[in-house]
Amino acid sequence: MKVNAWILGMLLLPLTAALAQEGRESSTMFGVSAVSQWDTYLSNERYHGGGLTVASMVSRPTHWMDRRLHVQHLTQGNLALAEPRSDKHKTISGFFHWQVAWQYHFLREKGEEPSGPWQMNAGLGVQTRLGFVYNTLGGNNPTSARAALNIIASGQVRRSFELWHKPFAATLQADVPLTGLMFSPDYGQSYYEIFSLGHYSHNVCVVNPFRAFQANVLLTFDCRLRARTSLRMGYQGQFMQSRANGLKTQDFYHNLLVGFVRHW
Amino acid sequence: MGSCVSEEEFSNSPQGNFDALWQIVDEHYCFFPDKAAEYGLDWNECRSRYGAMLLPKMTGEQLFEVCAKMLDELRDGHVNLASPFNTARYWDWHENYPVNFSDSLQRVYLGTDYRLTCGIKYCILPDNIGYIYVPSFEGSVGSGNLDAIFTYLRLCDGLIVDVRNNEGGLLTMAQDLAASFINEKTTVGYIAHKTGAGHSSFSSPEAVRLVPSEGMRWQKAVAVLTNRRTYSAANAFVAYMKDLPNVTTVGDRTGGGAGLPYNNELPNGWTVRFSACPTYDVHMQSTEGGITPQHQVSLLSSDFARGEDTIIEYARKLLRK
Repeated sequence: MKVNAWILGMLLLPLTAALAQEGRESSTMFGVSAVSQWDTYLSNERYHGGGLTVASMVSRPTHWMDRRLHVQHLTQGNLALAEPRSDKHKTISGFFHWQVAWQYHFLREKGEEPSGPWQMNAGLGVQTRLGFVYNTLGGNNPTSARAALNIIASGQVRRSFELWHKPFAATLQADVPLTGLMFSPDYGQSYYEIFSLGHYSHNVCVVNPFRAFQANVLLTFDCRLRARTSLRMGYQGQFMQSRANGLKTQDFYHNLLVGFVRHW
Repeated sequence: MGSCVSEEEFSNSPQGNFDALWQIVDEHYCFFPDKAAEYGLDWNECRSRYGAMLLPKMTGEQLFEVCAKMLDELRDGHVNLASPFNTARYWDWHENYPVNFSDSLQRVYLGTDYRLTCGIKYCILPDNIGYIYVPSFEGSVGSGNLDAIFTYLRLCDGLIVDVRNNEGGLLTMAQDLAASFINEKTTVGYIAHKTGAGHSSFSSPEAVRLVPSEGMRWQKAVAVLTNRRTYSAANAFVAYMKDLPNVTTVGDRTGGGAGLPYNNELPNGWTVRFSACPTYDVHMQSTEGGITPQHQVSLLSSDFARGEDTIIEYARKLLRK
């Protein structure tokens, strides 16, 4: 019974967060990306190129743990075009990334504004990622699908300061998958076998950071423009890689972001 | 990053490109055990023999020639090396044999008012035998198109399905067509894939099951016509059909091509294609070397002179019996 109540509580967390508007922060950012990709299912060559990204981040306090527990949603899309060193072929890739993390705010008085210039939050969350990489090489292996569901550790450090009599904030966030499940074709398995014939062969693999370390790192600078609005600029490194079924993948995105933050 | 995924990258030099090609084939090609048993192919020996021909300052054309000769050792029509100036290929599987097909003769049978849908030509021959010519499995054929074909031919006494000179395309189109000749879910073959870089690392073969077409299905006798240029997905179509009841195969041995081809690339951008997933017939026999028809028939020059296609005529006689 206690377990059921706990599960119900976890399910209701986003709802309780929705009701707690004060302390809420939402941002929308747009960016350009430098991309490095490698997928041995498609090609032995590394691909480099550029892309565009859009990210939305919403953080708000819950009523739990004296409002020190915040819930943070990150939704992001990436589109990229890349070429190998020969410039003879191309990959077109797209990713959709969504995560929710519950972070405990350590240096905060009971639900109030931070007592000092520093904020430190850490917690756990769930991350999903869907995507594809299409290679113009063709053949029966033109596309590689990406799908993953991870448990993540999420942490954030924020320092507030004043510059030119204006309030600024520098924030560093890191999200690291601890374990999870990902889709991968078997070493030489065709998507024809999977999707046309319904043959499965170790296509759901367990992810852990020792086999292939992954991380999402976000460094932002906020400049308060108005009482409830800040300009945000930042760098984001999305380091996604895998080693499964004898196949290796790497999707490294270095994003320069700019956007606005709305405070409540 | 402690557990960063990485691998040695070959240089864009004659040696680097040669090594990259050899390794891609070594780790992914699926017919090494078959070719070793058939004619003693030793891929390591090929590396030594052709690697000795490399020179640091050789031209791209010279490197291409060495790489193409090494790939020729695989004796596989699904193996190609494509550069901006040439495409290496192994076409002995049809070039060393009689063509056994003439589009001039075919025109005598089809006439000019034949029906055409999705690239499939069809007509009714004077002795009330239906004739379908499938030149390729590139693209797709919808159930509506197949319904139209079989509705038109439904009163025929028998059917010829001609896949001569059909060099393949999509397995799904071959399956869609074959599904018009079965009445229940039928295992028509098997497919496997590599599970690692080892030459003998394969998954357990899994059944390829066809689901009967929901549209009109052919119930009378069928003759499938083949020649040496019946290859790849067309070879698979013959493999699916040959053991079905009411179906007989007529013509020359098919060209084979029983490996699903994959593409990869070299540091200089040349594209390499190779067989990656082996397929088998319903008896778990590889059809890489082709399928011998139940009735081996060749075009006779005397028939040709009379404007007759020996293979079509033979099939008509079989179907009229």
